[in-house]
Amino acid sequence: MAHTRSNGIEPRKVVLAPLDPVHDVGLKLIRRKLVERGHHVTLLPPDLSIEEIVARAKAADPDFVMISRALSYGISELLAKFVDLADAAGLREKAKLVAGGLSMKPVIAQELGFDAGFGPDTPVEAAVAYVEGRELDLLGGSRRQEKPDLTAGFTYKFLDSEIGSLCTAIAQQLIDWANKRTSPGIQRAQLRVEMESQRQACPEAYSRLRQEYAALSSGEVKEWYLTGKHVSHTRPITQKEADYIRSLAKNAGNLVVPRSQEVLNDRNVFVQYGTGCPVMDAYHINLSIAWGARGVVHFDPSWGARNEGLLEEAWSHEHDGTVLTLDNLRLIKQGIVPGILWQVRAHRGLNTPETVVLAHLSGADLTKINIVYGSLAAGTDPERLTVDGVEAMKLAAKYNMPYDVVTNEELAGVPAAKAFAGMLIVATAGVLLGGRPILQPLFANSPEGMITGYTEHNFIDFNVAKMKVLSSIIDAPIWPGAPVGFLTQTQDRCQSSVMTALHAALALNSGATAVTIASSDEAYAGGPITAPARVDTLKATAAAFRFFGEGGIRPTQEADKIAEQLRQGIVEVLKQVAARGDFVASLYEGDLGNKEDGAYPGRSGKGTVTLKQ
Amino acid sequence: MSVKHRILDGCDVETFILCNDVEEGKTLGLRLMAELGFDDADVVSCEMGGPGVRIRLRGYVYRPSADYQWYGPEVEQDGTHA
Amino acid sequence: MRVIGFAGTAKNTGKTTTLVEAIKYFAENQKKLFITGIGYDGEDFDNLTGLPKPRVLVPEGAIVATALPLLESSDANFTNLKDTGIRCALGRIFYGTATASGRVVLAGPASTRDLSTVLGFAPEDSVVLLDGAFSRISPMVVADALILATGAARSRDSHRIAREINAIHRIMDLPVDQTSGDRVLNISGGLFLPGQGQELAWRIKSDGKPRTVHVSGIVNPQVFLEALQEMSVNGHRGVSMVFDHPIMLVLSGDLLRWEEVFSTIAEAGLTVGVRESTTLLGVTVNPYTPTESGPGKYIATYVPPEAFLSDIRTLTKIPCTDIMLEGPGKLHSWLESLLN
Repeated sequence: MAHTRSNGIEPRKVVLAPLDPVHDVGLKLIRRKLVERGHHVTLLPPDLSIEEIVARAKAADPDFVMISRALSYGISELLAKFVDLADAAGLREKAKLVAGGLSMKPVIAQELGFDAGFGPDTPVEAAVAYVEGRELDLLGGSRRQEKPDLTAGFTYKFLDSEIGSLCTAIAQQLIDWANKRTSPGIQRAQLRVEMESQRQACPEAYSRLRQEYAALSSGEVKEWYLTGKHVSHTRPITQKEADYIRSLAKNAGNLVVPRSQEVLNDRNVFVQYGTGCPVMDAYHINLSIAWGARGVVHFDPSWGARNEGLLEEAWSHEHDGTVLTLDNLRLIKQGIVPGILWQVRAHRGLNTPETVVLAHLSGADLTKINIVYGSLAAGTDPERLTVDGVEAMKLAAKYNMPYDVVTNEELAGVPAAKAFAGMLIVATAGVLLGGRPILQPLFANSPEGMITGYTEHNFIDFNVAKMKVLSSIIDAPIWPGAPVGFLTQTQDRCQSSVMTALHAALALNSGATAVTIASSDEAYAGGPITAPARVDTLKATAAAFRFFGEGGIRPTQEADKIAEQLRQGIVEVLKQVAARGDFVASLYEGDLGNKEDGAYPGRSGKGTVTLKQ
Repeated sequence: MSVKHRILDGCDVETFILCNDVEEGKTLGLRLMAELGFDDADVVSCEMGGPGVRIRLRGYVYRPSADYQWYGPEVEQDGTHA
Repeated sequence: MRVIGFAGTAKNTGKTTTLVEAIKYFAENQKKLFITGIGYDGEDFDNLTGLPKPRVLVPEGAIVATALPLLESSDANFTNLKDTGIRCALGRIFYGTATASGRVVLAGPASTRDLSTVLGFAPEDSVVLLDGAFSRISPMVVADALILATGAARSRDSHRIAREINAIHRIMDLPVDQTSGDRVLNISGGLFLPGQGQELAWRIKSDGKPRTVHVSGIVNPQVFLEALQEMSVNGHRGVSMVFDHPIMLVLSGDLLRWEEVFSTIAEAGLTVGVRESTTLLGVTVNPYTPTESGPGKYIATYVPPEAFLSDIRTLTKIPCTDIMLEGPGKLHSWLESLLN
C-alpha cells in the first residue's frame, strides 16, 4: 500500500518507455527528477515493441506509464495502438498513460487516447507535477501576475558624501528657484485636472475650462481646440479600431509566456511602443507581453513636445509616436494586463507636468522626467523645463509614481560625467520633493565612448563603469536604457538582436533593476517597427539570460579606471554648477553639456516662464 | 480574402541573392518584392559577401493608421474568397 | 439504451462522416441521443495533417459528453451541465443538453473503464453514439453494435482491405459461449505475445481434459497458431476455446493471420467462441487518404471510388457502402434495427 513519505509526497510507481533512442534523454531527465523525489521509476530500453512495453509495464503494476516518441502521421497510429493494447490488457485499470515528445500537445494526446500529453516545451517539472497529482497548466508557460516595484528596498541615501552634498545644494537651489515661477505648462496641467473632474459632472464648466486651455495652447493643437481641424497626419480612431482593441484586451488577461521565454518572468525587461496607431500599439503590447516583456513604454510623437497643449479624444497618427491624449492612453490601458508595468514619458517637452497628470489619470505606473536632457538635447528652453520639471516631479510624488531620469544627451555627444551630474542633480531634486526617481544611464557606443576609446576593445567596460560609479554614489535603482545598445546595432536583425540581448544581459548582470530593450528594427529608419522585430529581441534577450544565468560577465581592469574617471568628472561638473549658484544659468552656459559636446539649449517655450503672483 | 491581410504589419523576406554588388542586390530584391505582390516594399538590410548579398526585404501590408482588414471574410485554405 | 460504436481501421477512414450521418438519421427519427467519443473529433483541421475535417453537428435536445471547455465553446448552447467525474487530457468531462443545433468538438473518455462510467449517465431510452479515434477499438467492447470505417487511408490495396474486413467479420461473428462450471479452465494473461503460445498450450494440457478453455486477455493470431501447434490437437477435439470479446483478438498482430487460424481450427476440430460480443452492422469504405507531399505536409488524395468499393463489395459478405458515393441510404438501413 502506498504511504506518504516524510517530504509529504506519496511515492508512485512510474514506467518510462522511450520508443526510440533519442527520447531516452528526455525520459532520463524525468527519471532523475522523479527518483530525487522518492518515486519508483522503471526506465525500459528503447528497442521494445509496443506489445512488449505493455507486457513489461503490466508486470510492474505502475501508477503511470510515460511513453516518448517524436510524432508523425505513421507514429501516431502506433501510439494509438499502444493505448488500445494498454486498455485491453487492463493496464489502465490503475495506470495513467502519458505521451511526450516532439509535436505532442494535449489535443493530440486526447485524440490518441492518452490521459495527458507533454510537448517539447514542457519542463520536466510538469511531468513530475502530473505524477504527484498537482495542478499545472500544461497548455503553455506561466506569467507572473504581481507587479514589480522597481524602487523597493532603495534608501536614496548618498554613499558618496562629497557628491551628495554638492547635489543637494544644487537641487535645493533649483527647487527654490522654480517654486517662485510658473508657466503655461503648469497652468494647463492644473486645468486638465479640473477639466477631467468637470467633463461629466458639469459640461458648461468643462467647456469654459476648455476655452481657457485653448488660450494656453499653440500651433496645430491650439487650432484643433478652436476650429476642430485635425493636426497633420492624424485622424480620429474609428469604432472598428476601438473594437479591435477591446476584443484584444478581453483575452489579454489569459496571456501566458512561452516556456522558452519564462526566464524573462523574473527580469524587468521593458520595450517601447508607439507606432502612431493605438490599435497597432495594442497588438505590439499584447505580443510583447506574450513574449515576456514585464513593462512597456509609451512613445509619443516629437511634435507633442514642441506644441503647447495636448489633444483630447482618440487619434491615429501616420508617423512614429502615438499621440498623447487621455482617450488614447485609456484605450491602450485596456491591454495592460496585471503584472505589467506601464510607463508614460513626460520628460522633454512643453507638456511635461500635464503628461504626468494624464499618466496618473490613465493608470500608468511610471513616468520619465529629466530637465537636463530635455533642455540640452530635446529642444526645450532650460528655464521653462526647469519650472515644468519641478512641477512634474511634485505631481509624480503626489501620485506616488516613480520616474526614471534619462540621460540620452550622451547620444548627442555629451560626456557621461556631465550627463550623470545632470541626472544626479535632477534625481536629488526628485528625492527632496518626496519622489522616487530611477537612474537611467545610457548603455551605448556613445560618441564619447568612440572618441575616448572606452568602447574600442569591448562594450562591457564603459557600461559596467557607469553602473559601478552610479551605485557607489547613491543607493537608488538603476534602469539602463532607453533602449540599451544605441549605436551598436545595425540593420541586420541577427546582429541587432545579439547586441540588444547582450546589453540587456550586461545591465542585469551588473546590478540594474530593469532594462529597456529595442526591437531588431532599431537601426532601420525606412518604416515603422514590425511585430516580428519585437519578438526577435525578446527571444534573443531570453536566450542571453538563459546563457549567462548567474554566471556573470567579467569586465577588464579598464572598467574600474573608467569608473574613477567618471567620478572625477562628475565631481568637477557638480563643483562648477554649485559654484555658479544658478542651475538654470549653468544649463544655458554649458556646464552640463555645451555646443562643443553637441548640446544646445532648446528654444521651445522660451520666454514663457513668469514669476508667481 | 488573401492571407496577406492577416499579417499584422509587414512581411519580411530574407534570402541570399546572387549578384555583383550591393546596388544590384537591392534592385533585384525590390523586384522580387514586386513579383510577390508587395507594393510598399523596402530593403531593411543588405550586405555583400562572396557571390551575392544577404538581404532582408520588407513589404508593409499595413502601416500604422492604415485601414486594417485583419478580420475580413474568412480566409480559405487556398487564399481565395470564402 | 443501445450503444453504437463508430470505429476505424486507421485515422482518416471516415468515422466522423459516418457518425454525422447517423446523428442526422436518429435526429430525424426523434430518437433521444447521447453522444461522446474516445478521442478528439469535430475540429476544423486535422491536428496531424492540417487538412480540413468534417464537422460534428448535433441536433437540439442531444446530450453530449465532452471536455468542459468544448461544451462551453460550442454554438449548440449546452444547458444543464453536469460533471461526470472523469478527466481526459483536455480537462474534466461534463455532459449537457443542446438547446440549439450546433457544432461541437468531441473529446471524451479514453479508457474502457472511464467510458463505462460516462455511459452510466446516458438515459435508459437513449441511443448512445460513440465516436472512435484512429484505429482504436478497445473501448468499443462496451458497444452493442459497431460500424467499422475503413478505406484507402488504411491501405490503397482493395484486396487487402477486403481480406481484413473478412477477418474482422469472421471474428466479430464468433458465437457467444457463456459456459461456466467445473469443466471450464480459466487462463488469464492480459497480453499473449508471440512466443507465448507454447506456454498457453502447456497450461491447457496440464489441466487434463477441460471442455472449455476461457482465455482472458489480448490474443495475437501468431500465439494462437503456436498454441495449436503445441497442443496435441487430436487429444483436444471437442474443446471450446472462449475469449473475452472479439475485440481482444483484433488488437495485436496481423489481422490476415486469422485466416490461417480459422482454417487450422476447423482441421483440429476445435470450436471457438466469445463470452460477450458486439454486432458488426456494416462497413463504410472511404477512398480518401492524406498523402505526404513534403516533410510534415499533406495533401488530400483519393483512389478511384467506384472501383475501390465494388472490388471490396465483391470480395466480402458483410454489407459495405461509401456514403459520399452512394448516399446514406445503406447506413440508414443498418441503423433501422436500432430504432425500436
